Amino acid sequence: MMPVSIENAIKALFQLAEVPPVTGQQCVVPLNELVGAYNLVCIEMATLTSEGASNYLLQRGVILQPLHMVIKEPLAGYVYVSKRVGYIFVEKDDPLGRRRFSVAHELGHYVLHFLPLLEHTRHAEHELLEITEALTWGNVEEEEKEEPPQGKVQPLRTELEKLLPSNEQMELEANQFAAELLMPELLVRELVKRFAVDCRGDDLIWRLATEMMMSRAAVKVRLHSLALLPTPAGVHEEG
Amino acid sequence: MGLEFLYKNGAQRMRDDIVGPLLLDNEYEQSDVQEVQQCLEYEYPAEKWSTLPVHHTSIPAEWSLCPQRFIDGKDLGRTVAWLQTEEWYPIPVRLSEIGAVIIQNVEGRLRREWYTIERVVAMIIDPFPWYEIESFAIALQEENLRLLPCKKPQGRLTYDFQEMRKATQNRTLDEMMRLEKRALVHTCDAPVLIDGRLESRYGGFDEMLTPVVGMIKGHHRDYLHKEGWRVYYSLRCGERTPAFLLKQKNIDVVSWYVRIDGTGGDLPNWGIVRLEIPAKFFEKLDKDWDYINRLSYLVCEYRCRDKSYERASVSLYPIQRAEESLGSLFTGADKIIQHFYKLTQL
Repeated sequence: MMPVSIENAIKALFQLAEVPPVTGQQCVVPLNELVGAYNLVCIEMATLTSEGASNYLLQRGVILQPLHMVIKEPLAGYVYVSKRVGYIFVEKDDPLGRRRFSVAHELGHYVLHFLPLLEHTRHAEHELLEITEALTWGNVEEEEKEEPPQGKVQPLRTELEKLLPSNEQMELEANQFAAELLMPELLVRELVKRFAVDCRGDDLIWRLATEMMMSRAAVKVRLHSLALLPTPAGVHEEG
Repeated sequence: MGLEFLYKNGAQRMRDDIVGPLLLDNEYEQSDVQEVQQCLEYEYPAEKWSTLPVHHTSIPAEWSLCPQRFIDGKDLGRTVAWLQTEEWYPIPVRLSEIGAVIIQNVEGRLRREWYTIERVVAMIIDPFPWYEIESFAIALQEENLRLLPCKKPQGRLTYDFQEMRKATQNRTLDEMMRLEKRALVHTCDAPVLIDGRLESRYGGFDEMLTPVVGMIKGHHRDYLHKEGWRVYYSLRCGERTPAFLLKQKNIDVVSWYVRIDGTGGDLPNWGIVRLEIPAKFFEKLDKDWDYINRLSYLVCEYRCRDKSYERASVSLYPIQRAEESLGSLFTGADKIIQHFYKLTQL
């Protein structure tokens, strides 16, 4: 299976959704429109667990029997993909910025990992090809936690596992996809150029977070990754 | 959905703000309320506290630390609508025009050096579907309005509308202070006086290098000991209290009270303001008490003499001018609110 580059995947996604790239004036990425381009259904669920997601799909006749390995562990996001449908679930009570990041993370898995797998197995006999991924953010109370979320991809047929990259790699890629999708490098650079003149340190992060509708933690990580985080004014080392 | 978000979620217009229970001090964001440790014996021990006259202080013509720039901010707006969550929590929507300005004293003439103005819509967004808020934020951006997400009061939603309204108002005030910080950055470490606390503007100046002075009109905390209050109430115009140290989360400041206006028969605290300067900067001056005397004298000289101005007794003329200057650049609340109603079909 050919790996898909994140940059190309995002470009293709914007084209498919017929969404123009964001600009310095329109800085909020229309994630909902992008998700809609693949006919993925987004569901917000309170106290989300894989069991809850499985029950939801059962009740709506999407699946005929409960998904394998479902548990009651609280999740931030969950994705279920089959040859016919795709559902993204997010924890309804998470802060809005985090919910958007979770959706973008799951969309990243779909575009980068599941879609190529579906393509690869199109003519194969895997009629029951199903994949899920469960995402956690660690301590959900910490809105501004800076560590990226981690998940676990679970193809429901174990022989498909060897067609996918390692879980670590997929998680890394999904987080990178979410960050690049919601905070495009060109946009971030443009906003930094505009606001770093007089917004220092935490204020710059606050500003960018409201401009792009992201959490401050996500913005901080993105600025670090682009080496765009200046030293705050007035900070002196002791001695 | 876009701008129809409010209408489709059953939002209703609100007339002018009805101020219910007392708002939290508008200088403080919720998160800003914190412990302050004070060291009152910074200049004099308690038993030696007395009023200190400053009206005979001389200021050299070329005093390099004399504030020639003045910063003020403005938050002109109100709660324009409210809607409810699925659980019927009331969510206020505040529309504000916020701004900050630098007024510079150039050879005795005050002129506007820099300003910024923005229009913002503040509300608690977490109880709503992310895709609806996203679409609303995008539509607002197209209209040059920025959505400011507010924190829930005390970290939770409440059925108390006033508490929710207060949290929303605090958010726009907090954003206004961020604009003031931007103004501070533009002064490039030149001597500057800002209307408000330094703690809230931390990050906009260099506490070691910037000769920045914060002037606080309201007195919302009890910083003084018994002797301190005795001295406070016996201040006459042109007198100050001894200075004390306030240790805060972000910045330690040296602070003192000075009476800039006082006519017989007024309220006991009439015309008293509190000044603060960064402790690190003051200590770099080897605790030059003359610096404090000169600043005190200067604010007395700069006091607003326009008695028709509501807060004249605790205002400086350049700050009054700054406020007027910014006000003249604002579009006007009624016009913006009507436009907002039209856009959102409320």
